Amino acid sequence: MDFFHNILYGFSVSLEPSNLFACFVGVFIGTLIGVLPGIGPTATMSILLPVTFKMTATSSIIMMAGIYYGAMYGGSTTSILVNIPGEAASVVTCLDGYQMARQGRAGPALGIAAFGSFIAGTLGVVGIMFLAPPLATLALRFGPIEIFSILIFSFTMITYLAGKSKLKAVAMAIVGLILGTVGLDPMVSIPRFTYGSVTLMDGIGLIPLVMGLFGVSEVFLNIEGKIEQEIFKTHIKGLFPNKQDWKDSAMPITRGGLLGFFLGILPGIGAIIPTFISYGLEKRLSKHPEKFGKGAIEGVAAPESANNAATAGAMVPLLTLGIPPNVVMAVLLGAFMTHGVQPGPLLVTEHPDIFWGVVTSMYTGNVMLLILNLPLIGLWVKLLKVPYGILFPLILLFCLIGVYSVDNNPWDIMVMLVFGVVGYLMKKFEFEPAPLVMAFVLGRLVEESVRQSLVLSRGDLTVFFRHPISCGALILAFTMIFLPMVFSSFKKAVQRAKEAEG
Amino acid sequence: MKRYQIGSAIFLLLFGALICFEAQRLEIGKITKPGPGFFPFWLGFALIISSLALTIKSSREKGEPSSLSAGMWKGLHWGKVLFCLTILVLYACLLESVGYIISTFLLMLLLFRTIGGQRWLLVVLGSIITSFATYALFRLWLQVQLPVGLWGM
Repeated sequence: MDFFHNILYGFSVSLEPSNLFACFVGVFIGTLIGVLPGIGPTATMSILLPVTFKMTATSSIIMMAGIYYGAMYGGSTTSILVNIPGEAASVVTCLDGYQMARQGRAGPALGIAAFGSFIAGTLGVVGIMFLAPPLATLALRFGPIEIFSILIFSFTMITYLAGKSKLKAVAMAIVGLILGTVGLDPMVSIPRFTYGSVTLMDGIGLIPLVMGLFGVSEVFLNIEGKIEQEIFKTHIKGLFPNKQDWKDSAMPITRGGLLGFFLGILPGIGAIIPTFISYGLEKRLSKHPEKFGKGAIEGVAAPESANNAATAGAMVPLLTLGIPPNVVMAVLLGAFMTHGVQPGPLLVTEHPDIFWGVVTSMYTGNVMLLILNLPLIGLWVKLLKVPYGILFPLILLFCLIGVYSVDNNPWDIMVMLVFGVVGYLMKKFEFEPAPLVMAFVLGRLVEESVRQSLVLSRGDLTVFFRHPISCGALILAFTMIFLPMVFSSFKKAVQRAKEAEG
Repeated sequence: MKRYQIGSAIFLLLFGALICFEAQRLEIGKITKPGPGFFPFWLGFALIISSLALTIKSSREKGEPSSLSAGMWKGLHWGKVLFCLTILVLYACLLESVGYIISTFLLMLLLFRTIGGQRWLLVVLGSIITSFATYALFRLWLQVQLPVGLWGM
C-alpha cells in the first residue's frame, strides 16, 4: 500500500495550483521550442534557470522537466507538416510522417504522434515509479569507489555512442573534465586556472557554457547560411486516427515505449537513438516493410513513443544516482543544485515532495500536452512562418538575459560568447559538444571520487577491481571498448577467409 | 579537409601540454595523497595522448574530404558571424553603464536590420516592443535583476 500512498502524495504535490501552473508553463514552452527549429530544450532550460530562482525547488524542476518532454511533442509537429525536425529526436518521424501529410493524412499522423507520446510517456512514468525507489536503496551503499567506476562506465558509453569519431569524443570529454577543474579545488580550496579572475573563482558556470555551446553557436551557424522555410500547405482535418490506424499502431506504441524507457536509462543514449532503433525494429517486424518510408503509420507511432518514454527513462539515473545520463539531464541537475537539492539515493527519503511531485507531474504534464497539442496545432503551424531574421535576435536576447541574471555579472556574458565561438568552431571541425558538457558537469564528482578512493585505499589502484559493483561496471566499460574491436577483426577475418576460399 | 583535422588535433595537443605545465605548478601530490594539481595533470596527459592518436589517425586518412570541412567557409557569410559577435561583446561591455532598455533597443535594432534584413518600420517597432516587453516580463513580473544605467532605464 506504500506505493499507492506515495503516488497519492505525489499527486497532492503536483496538483497544487502553483505546481500545476509551473507544469503548464513548462510543457507550453517546451512545445513552442520543439516547434521552432534552431533552439532546443538544452538551451531553453538554461535560459529559464535564473527565472526559477524565486520559485520553489519542486515547481522549478517540474517546469524544467516539462520543457524537455514538451519539446518532444513539439518536434514531431514540424517533422510531419514541414519535413523539418524541430528536435533531433524527431528526425525519424519525418520519414513516414511527412509522407502521410502529403497523402492528406496529416491529421491522423499528428494524432497518433500525440496519443503515442501520451501512452508511452505514461508507461515511462509508471516505470520510474517502480524502478527508482529500489535503485535508490541499492545506490545508498555506493561509496566513492563505486561512483568512480560507474562514472567511467558512463563516459565509455557516451563516447562509444558519439557520432563519427570516437577519438574526438574522448578528446572532448577530457576537455570537459579540464574545464570542470577551473575554480576552487574541491578538497583544499586552492584556486586553479583562474588567473586572478573573480568570475572564474566559482568555476566556469554551467549556464554560460551550455548556452554558448548550444544556443549562441547554433545562431552563428544559422546566420552565416541561408535558412529556407517551406510550409506544406494542407488542410488538417480529423486528428483522430481511425480504427485501422489504432490497430496498426497499438503494438508499435507499446514496443516503442518499452524500448525507449529502458534505453533512456543508459548513459549517453538520450532520446534520439531509441527513435532510430524502434523504427528499425518495427520495419523488421512488419508484415509489409515496403510501406515504410511511404507513409506507414507505424513509422510515426513507434519512434514518437520511444522518444517520450526515453525522456522518462533518463530521469531514473539522475533521480537515484545523481548521475545525469545525457546533456538535458545535466542541465536539470544544475537546476537541482541551484536550489540546494542534491539528487541521488537520498532524494526519495529526504525530499519525497520533490521526487514524487516531479514524477507525478510528468503524468499531469502528459495529459496537458495532449489537450494542448491537438487543438493548438494550427497555432504552431502559424508560428513556423516566423522568419529566422526575426527569430534569431530574440533567441540571442533571451540567452543574454538568462546568462546575465544568474549572477548579475556581465562577465558571464563574455564566458557565454567565448563558448559560442568554441561551439561554432567545434561544429566546423566536427567535434561534438555533448561529451564535453557531460564531462564538465560530472568533472567535480569524478575528481572527488578518484581522490577519495585513492586516499581510502592508500594509493592502491586495484581497489576499483576488488569491490564487486565497481568491478562489474569497469568490466562492462572495457567490454564496450573492446567488443567492437574484436567484432570488426572477427568480421575481417571471416571476410579474408571467404576471399581465400573464393 | 585533412589539413584542418590535423590542425585541430595539434591545437588540442598544445592545449593538453599547457594544462600539464600549469598543473605541475599547482602541486600534484602523491598517489596516496593527491594534491590540487593531480587531476588536471593527468587530464592534460590524457589529452596529449588522445590528440596524438587523433593527429596520427587524421594524417593517415586518405584524402577523403569530409562533407563539412570541404565547404567549411565557402559560400557562407561568416562575416555576419564576426559582426554579430562584435555587437554582442559591445553589448556586454555597455549593458551596466547604459542600462538594459537602451542597450537592448540598440542591440535589437542592429540585429534585426543588418543580419536579419527586415524592413525599417518592422525593425524600429520590433526593437521598441522587444526591449520594453522583455523588461516588463523579466524585471517587473519575474523580478529578475536587470541593470538600470543612464536615466534610470
